[in-house]
Amino acid sequence: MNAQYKKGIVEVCLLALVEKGFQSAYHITRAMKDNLSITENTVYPMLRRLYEKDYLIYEKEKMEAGAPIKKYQLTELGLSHLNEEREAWNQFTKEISNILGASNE
Amino acid sequence: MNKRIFLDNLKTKLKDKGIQPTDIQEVLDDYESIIDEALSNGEDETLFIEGLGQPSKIIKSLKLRKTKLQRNKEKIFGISPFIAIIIFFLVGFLFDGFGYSWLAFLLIPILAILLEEKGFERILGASSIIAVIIYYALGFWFSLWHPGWIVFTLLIPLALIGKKLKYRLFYATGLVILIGVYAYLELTNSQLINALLLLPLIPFAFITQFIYLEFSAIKVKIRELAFFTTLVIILISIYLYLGFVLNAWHPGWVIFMLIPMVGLGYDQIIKKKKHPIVAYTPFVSVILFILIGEIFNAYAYSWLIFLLIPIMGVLSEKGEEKWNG
Repeated sequence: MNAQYKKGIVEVCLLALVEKGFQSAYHITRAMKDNLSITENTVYPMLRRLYEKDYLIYEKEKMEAGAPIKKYQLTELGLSHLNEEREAWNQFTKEISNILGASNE
Repeated sequence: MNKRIFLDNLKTKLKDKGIQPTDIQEVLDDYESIIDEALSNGEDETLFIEGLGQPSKIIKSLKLRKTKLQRNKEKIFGISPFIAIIIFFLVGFLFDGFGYSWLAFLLIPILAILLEEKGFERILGASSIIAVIIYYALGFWFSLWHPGWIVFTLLIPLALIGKKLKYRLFYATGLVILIGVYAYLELTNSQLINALLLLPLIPFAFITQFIYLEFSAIKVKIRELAFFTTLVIILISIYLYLGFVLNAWHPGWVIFMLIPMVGLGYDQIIKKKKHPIVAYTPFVSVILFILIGEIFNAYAYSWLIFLLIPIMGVLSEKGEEKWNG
């Protein structure tokens, strides 16, 4: 996928993954890497940004071994932002498909 | 790289950047938990940690709070060019000293070293620039080029006892050049006093490399070492020619400004690192300032050249904004 396309939508994808139940930074990173070829180094800064915007909250979960893990959840504000962005994206892709699809006909 | 080394490096860089302790701890805890979870899911430790990126790049990508001390340091450094300009004018007009008041601009790198460097680097870096100031001050004010040069001999043992190979190497080379120059002078009965103007170049060349080239891993950077050593030798040769043949020790020394400029160009062309044009501007400004000031005896207004620095800074920012949308 073109890097410029990703740039605008990647934060929304992260919020969508949290909505789908990917809660820890590692699992979100894994899913982002598998689906969007996003590298590990971009996810953690993004999580912090989204937390600072109040789109995410977290609870720390103690582990049997290793450091406690932050489990992220969407806030109401985060969910509302996700839905707005999702709607805008759907509208955008529909409009673009209308244009790009026409050349194939 | 394993988890412990990665976290230690990250901690060191965070502390160096003056980040608040609570933020440091939070970032370290987060990375520790991410790595632990990755390892418990069967990820390869080295590969996963490589994917997390270099600690310095991680810090750049995070919005972290700085300590009050760090914020104050940055403020002081930010106003240092203006303080330098004020001192330059005061000394220039009050004492008719535009010929030497440009030394006030060395306040900027001194403050940068004092505020940003730690331990031995701080002492050596600051001492070198202070020695240059003392030397020129003694020379211009009291015509004490000799024995004022003795101030530089104090730097040599300081550098030689340093832990880092780059300092020992650089000053040892300087020492050999000095001995060579003095031996030549003794043999040819040339003017010793004029040749003493050569002395500041050793710490000066060192400082410029120290700040901009970062010969931190000499073992793996033999090509760079060879390139820059050759460059320095060529420049010293040109300088000696300017001094002995044309009697242009001052302002001939400005050719050493080419070292950091070539360093930046080397970074850009060979290492593909991006440097904005404003990075070159301080060196171009110093060259123009000295040449215009000296050749046309116009230090009273050649300082205006330094306005190129903020101008290029603003233009570079505008350019980046344009391209970044």
